[in-house]
Order: sequence, then structure tokens, then C-alpha cells
Amino acid sequence: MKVFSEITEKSWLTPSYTSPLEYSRIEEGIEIPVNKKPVLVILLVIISVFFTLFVVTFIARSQYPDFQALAGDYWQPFYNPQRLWLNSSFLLASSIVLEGAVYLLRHNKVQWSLLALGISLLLALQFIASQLLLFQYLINLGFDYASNPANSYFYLLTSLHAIHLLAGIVVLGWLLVYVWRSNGRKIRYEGISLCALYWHYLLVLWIFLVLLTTSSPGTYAFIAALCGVTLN
Amino acid sequence: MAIVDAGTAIADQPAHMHEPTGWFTQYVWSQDHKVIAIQYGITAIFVGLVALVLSGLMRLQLGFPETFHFIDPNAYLQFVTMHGMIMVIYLLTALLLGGFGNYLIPLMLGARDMVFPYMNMLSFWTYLLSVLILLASFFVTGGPTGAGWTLYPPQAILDGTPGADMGIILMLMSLAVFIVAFTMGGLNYITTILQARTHGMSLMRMPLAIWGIFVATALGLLAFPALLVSAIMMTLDKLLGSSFFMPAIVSLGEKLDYAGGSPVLFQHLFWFFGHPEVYIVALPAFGMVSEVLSVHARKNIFGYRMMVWAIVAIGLLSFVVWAHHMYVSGMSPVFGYFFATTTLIIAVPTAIKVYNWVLTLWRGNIHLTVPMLFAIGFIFTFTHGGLTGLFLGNVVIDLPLSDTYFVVGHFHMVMGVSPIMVLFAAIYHWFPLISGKKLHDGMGKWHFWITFLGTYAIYLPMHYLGFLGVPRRYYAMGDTGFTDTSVQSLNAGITVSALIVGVAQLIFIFNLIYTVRNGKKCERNPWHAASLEWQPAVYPPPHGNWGDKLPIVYRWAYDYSVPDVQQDYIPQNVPQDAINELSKPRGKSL
Ligand code: HEM
Ligand SMILES: [Cu+2]
Repeated sequence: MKVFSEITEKSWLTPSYTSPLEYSRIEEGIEIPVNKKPVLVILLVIISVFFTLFVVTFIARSQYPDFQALAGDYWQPFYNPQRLWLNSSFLLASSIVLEGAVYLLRHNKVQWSLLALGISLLLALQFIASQLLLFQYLINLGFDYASNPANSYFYLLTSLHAIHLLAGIVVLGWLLVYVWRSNGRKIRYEGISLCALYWHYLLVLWIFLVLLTTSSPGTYAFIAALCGVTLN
Repeated sequence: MAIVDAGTAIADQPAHMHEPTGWFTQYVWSQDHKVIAIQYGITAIFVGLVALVLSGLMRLQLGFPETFHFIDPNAYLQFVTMHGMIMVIYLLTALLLGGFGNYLIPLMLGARDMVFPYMNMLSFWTYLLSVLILLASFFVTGGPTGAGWTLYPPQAILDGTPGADMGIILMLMSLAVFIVAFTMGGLNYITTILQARTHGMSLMRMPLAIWGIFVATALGLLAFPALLVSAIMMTLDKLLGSSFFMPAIVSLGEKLDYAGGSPVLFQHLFWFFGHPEVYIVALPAFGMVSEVLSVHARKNIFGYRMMVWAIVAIGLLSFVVWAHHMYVSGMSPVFGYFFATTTLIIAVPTAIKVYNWVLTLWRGNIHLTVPMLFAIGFIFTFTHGGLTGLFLGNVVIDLPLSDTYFVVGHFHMVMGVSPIMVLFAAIYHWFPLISGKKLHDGMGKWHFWITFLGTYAIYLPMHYLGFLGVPRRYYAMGDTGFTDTSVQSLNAGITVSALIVGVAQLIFIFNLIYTVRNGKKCERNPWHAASLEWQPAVYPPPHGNWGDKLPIVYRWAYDYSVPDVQQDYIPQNVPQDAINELSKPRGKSL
């Protein structure tokens, strides 16, 4: 393994290490060439830790007697989670179209790619809008934020997901405008393909969150038991 | 001096550089890692002084109760809380990583700057914002929060705790903003270390300071989310009335709307952050002290590879010990056993490090310069605090000692004073690089001896108070059956020492200002250090650090007193041929 050999080498003997900085001469300014993908991956790891911690508390909290799972009884809103899945399809479509945009960009069809980028952004916004409508619907049914911890978690987790998506929308929108303005001469391939990666990540995260918030109390009890949490 | 010249020659040619123009871009909206480091440093030291004043006020109250009428029980709790939080997060974390991390990473690795200079600048301004939000809480109605630095709910957000309205909200907001700042900075440090090392700087040739900063940053990136999660959920409990952490509760005779939440859940989250936080502070300190010890003992660091592995091992283990802070929360004995075991295991790599520092000194050519004094002082205070930690790691010993002054003594030794010792060592050590001037030696020695001896005068008696059962976070002891009146005299003594130590820090501040204004330019590389950060042609290094061409690294950072070489150190960027040249007998050695 590379990491292993790297941290076991004998520092006082090592021959040499070639740096990616070869071409960074001062005349070109001090900008340092960076491979941005690992940076995004690290960021995604951090975001995963962030959501995982919420989920761990969710599982623990779900075992307290006052927790009423949103998919528990047939009168609960997500007993039939159809509407949630419908919303999810917007996010799925956004992800697919974005991947298409990257493909078009790679094959130098910049115009088409920009169009796809625009559509992808609209779909993402549509997703957020329909989530807001869903919030509205839930509140009208009387499922307030504070009336039950299950509701609190649902609003909290989905909102945090939306905030991450919004940040992505800002970045992707900025890239879109940038490429547009340059009349397609500067195509920013790296940035846009990283955005696509981020989108897919958020999609997977979303599906996970939907599955989590629409599971039955029995499932929670089972997961909690696996983690050694037994309160009831 | 020929060897040194090999280093200089590279940077000698004047090169056209994209230097920032104008005072504002150079010093305020700067993207240069060195300037950002100094901005971080000054801000952190400033809030640190606020925290120091708060500790002085607390000590006045404890040493001479019923004397200072402006300190009421609420104010005392607010002082405790703000003191603790500022010291741990806004001073130590910010100064070690934002300050020294920023300054040292590019220079020690031979990079021109951080890989994302703009993000680096944003990181500082975001940090400054978090500090301002924190300080703002002193001025809102109700004052800052008095919940203790651990901010445990339910009391943190309930009436009766000082600052339960605005204070706690501002504290949580400030922490969230700080975490954003840290994440921006941290991504930068990690990426720079992984991607911007110069030629020849393999991972295992990095100085230990970089290893410490690297692993600490990784810990921070993974642990701060836990604090953020708990801060978000507590803010929502407070503002929107959810019950994540809040149980059904009657407060001041009134039944509140909360129900069913779990305060212990918060404790788990908090300490899942809180324990790694100890190492976020300790690991950079471990690394930096290794540099100082090696340079001033003119010896290579003992067991370099083991030191690296120990840092990594401590980093990994630090995520599985958190519940040793919660032995009294009523946890199952099985968990207690587990966490006691992991806690004792983490002592192994830690002890390895201490042995290696001592063995580095052994038969070294020790120069008792001011940085070296502080570094050796650190070995004492850290060993001391580490040993009491071994006691507290055991459930049966912790139960009676928990929440007593024994704990206060322990954590001040291990994570209060020890990193501070290293910070002082580091400031005295790297000041010539940062400013081109050496801090005044005489003042430095006074500063060291008063601080070091004062530390023991303050914290040793606290352990004893803890044995007697004196509880922590108490405004006054009042009349208790179990403590002798001598407790009060001891407290008065501690206060006197604390005030002396506090005032002695003014020597240091004065020294800084005096040296910057009146100090003479010192020689280049005054400590004759081998590591790369000392090799630029001028101090402070110019924008872009390395002049026209990047340095090339031929060796590790610890070539001191190499046999058969005249000069007693070989800079990292000196090739083997130059040494062969120099190993021939010469008239004068350096
Ligand atoms: C001259 C130096 C210092 C003095 C005199 C001092 C004094 C004190 C005092 C009197 C307390 C309150 C004890 C109580 O009533 O429970 C305290 C708490 C604390 N101090 Fe310090 N301290 C100093 C430096 C530091 C440093 C450098 C740190 C950095 C880690 C630190 C971290 C803390 C923490 C975390 C608490 C606990 C706060 C809480 O209970 O919520 N202190 N200190
Ligand atoms: Cu701990």
C-alpha cells in the first residue's frame, strides 16, 4: 500500500520525491496547481460525518416513548411516502441531466452543455420548491416542527440537505454564468464535473434520508438494538 | 558559511513578483499566509488576554470572597464559562492552527503559499467574526452564558442560568461561525500538506511540527462537526421549542413544553468533539516542541519515525475515549470499563513521545535559550498533567474526584499550561523568522521563570483542594462541614500566585512591542536550524517565500551534529556534494 510505504520509509535515507510543483515559477504568479478532486472528497467525508452524527442521535432519540415515527400508523403522513418520492425524482433528474452536461462538455458541445446545466439547475430548484410545498402540507395537517421529535428531525434533516444543495446551486450557477460570459472559450470542465460529483453525493444522501425518515418504528428499534441502544 | 550560502544563492536573484500593492492589500485583505498567520495570532492573543483577565477576576473572588461586590454568583459563572471557552477554542486552537499552522506549513514544506490563498483569507475574517460575536455577548442583556464551557442542557437554555436568553444563542452562533472558519482553514492545511510539498519533501521528511499540525487538522475536521451538530440542535431546542435534548421539566415552578429529550445525548456529542479537541491543541504543540528541543539541543530528534506514528496513533485513539468525561452520567459499567481501557491505552503513544523528548536531550549540546527553557518546562508540566490524567481515567478514582479542583488542576496542567508553554517556546523560537528580530533575552528569562514556577504555585495546591472535596465552578465555599479553614488560606495563596503570573504576561507583551519597535536586526538563522523555514534569504520571507525558484530538499529536518561534518547542522536544502566539499578539514568551524 502506498500510504503504508510512505509512512514507513526511513526519513534519513530516502532518495527523492518529485513534487507536482515543478512548473510553479514565480513569474507565473504564486498560484499553485492543485488537484481539486481529493479536496472535494475530503469535504464530502466531513459532510458525511456531519449527517451521520445527526442520524446517530436520531436513532437514539427514536427509542424514547414520545417518538412517533412519521411512517408509523396509517394516519401518519409518510405511511404512504409517495409524495416524497415524487419530489425525489426532481433531484434524480437534476443529477442525470447534470451528468449529461458534463458528457456534452467533454465532447466540446458547449452550447448544449450550457442548456443542460440550466435545466439541471432548474430541476434542483424545483426540488427545493416542492419540498417547501411538502412542508406546507405537513404543517396544514398539524405536523408542526415542535409537536414531535420525529417531525423536528424531518424538518431539520431535509432543510440541512437543502442548504447543502443551495450552496451547490450557487457554485454551479456561478460557473454557468462564467462559461456563458466567456462565450464558451473557458469551459471550466474540472469545476463542473466536480459539481456533478457533489450532486450525485447529495442524491445518495437524500435517498438515505428519505429511507430513514420513512422507516417504521420496528426498523428503528432494530437498528438501535444493533447499535446497542435499548431504552424501551 | 558556505553551506548556508547554498541555500541563499537560489533566492538571491531578484525576481519579478506579483506582490500585492498598497497597504490595504498587503496587511488587511492579505492572501499571504504569513500575514494571515499574524492576523490570526494577534486576534487570538487579544482574546486570550480577555480570558486571562477573567481568570484573574475569578481568582480574586475565590481568594478573597465577599470583598469584590461586582462579582456576584452569576458573574462568576459567566467568567468561568467565557474563560474556559475562549482559552480552549479561540486562543489555543486558533493560535496553534490558524497562527502557527498558517505560518509554518508553506515555509516548512517549501511551498509558495497555501493552495487556496483566497479561502485562507476568508478563514481569518470568518474567525474574526466569530470572535466578535462571542465578545458581543458581554454587552447584551443578561450578559454572556454562564452554562460552563461544556454548555450542558437543560440548564444552558433555561431561566436561572445566567445568559440563558441572548448569551447562549450568541455563544452557539459564534461556535458555528468558528467551525466554518476552521473548516476553510483546515481544508487548506490538509491540501497544502498533501499536494504542495517541494521536491524531495517526502511525507517522512516533514518536520514533526507539520505532522502534528496535519493530524490535528484532520481531527478538527472530523470532530468539529459533532460540536456543530450539538450547537444546531440546542439552538433549535431553544428557539423553536423542539425537544432533542430537553426532557420534560419544571423550571422555576412552571411546567415547560419540552418532553422526552435526552441531555445525555448532548454530552455524548459534546465530548465526541471535546476529547479530540484536547489533541487538536496538543498535537501541534507536540510537534512544535519537538522542533525546538532538537534545534536547541543540537541533536536530531530521537526516534523520528516513532514520533510520527505516535502522533497518528494518538489521533486515531482520541476518537474512542470520549466518554471518560461522562463516568458520572450513570453509564453502564461495561462502557465505563471500555472507555477506561482505551484511555489508558492512549497513554502508551503519549509516553513514547515524552521518552523521546527526554532522550533527545540526553547527551545533547543543550543551549538554555528562552525557547528551550519553555520547551523543557513543557516536558515537566505535560508529564505532570498526563500522570494525573492516568488517575482520572479510572472509573473508581474519577467518581469521587469528578467536578472537584483535582480535575481543574489536572486539565490546566495538561491542556492549559502545557500548550501555552509550547506557544511561548514557539513564539520566542520563530520570532526572528517572523520579524527579523530576536526577542529580548533577559525579559524572556524573567517571563519564563515566573510563569513556570507560578504554574506550580497555582495548580499543585488545586490537586490537594480536590482531594479535600472542594467542588469546581463554585462561587464561594461558604460554611461547609468537610473543608478546613486552611482551604481558604490556600485559595488566597493561589490567587496571589495567579495574579503574579497574570501580570508577568505583561512582560511578554511588552517584550513583543519593544522588540518590534526597538530591536536590532538579528543575524540570519540565529539558532542555526536545519529545517526549511529558516532557509529563505531574508526575514521575514517575501511574498512567495522562495524568490525565483523553489528550494530542493535533500534530507530530513534534523541533521545536527552530523559526524565528520564541520558545521554542526546541515540545512535541508543542501545537496550531498556540498557537504562532501565541506567535510574536508577546515580552519574555522561555525
Ligand atoms: C493564569 C492562568 C489561568 C488561571 C489563573 C486559570 C484559572 C481558572 C479558574 C479559577 C477556573 C474556574 C474554576 C472553577 O471555578 O471551576 C478555570 C476554569 C477553566 N480554565 Fe483556566 N486558568 C488559567 C489558564 C487557562 C488556560 C491556558 C486554559 C486553556 C485550556 C484554561 C482552561 C480552562 C477551562 C476549560 C476551565 C473550565 C471552565 C468550566 O468549568 O466551564 N485555563 N480556570
Ligand atoms: Cu478526554
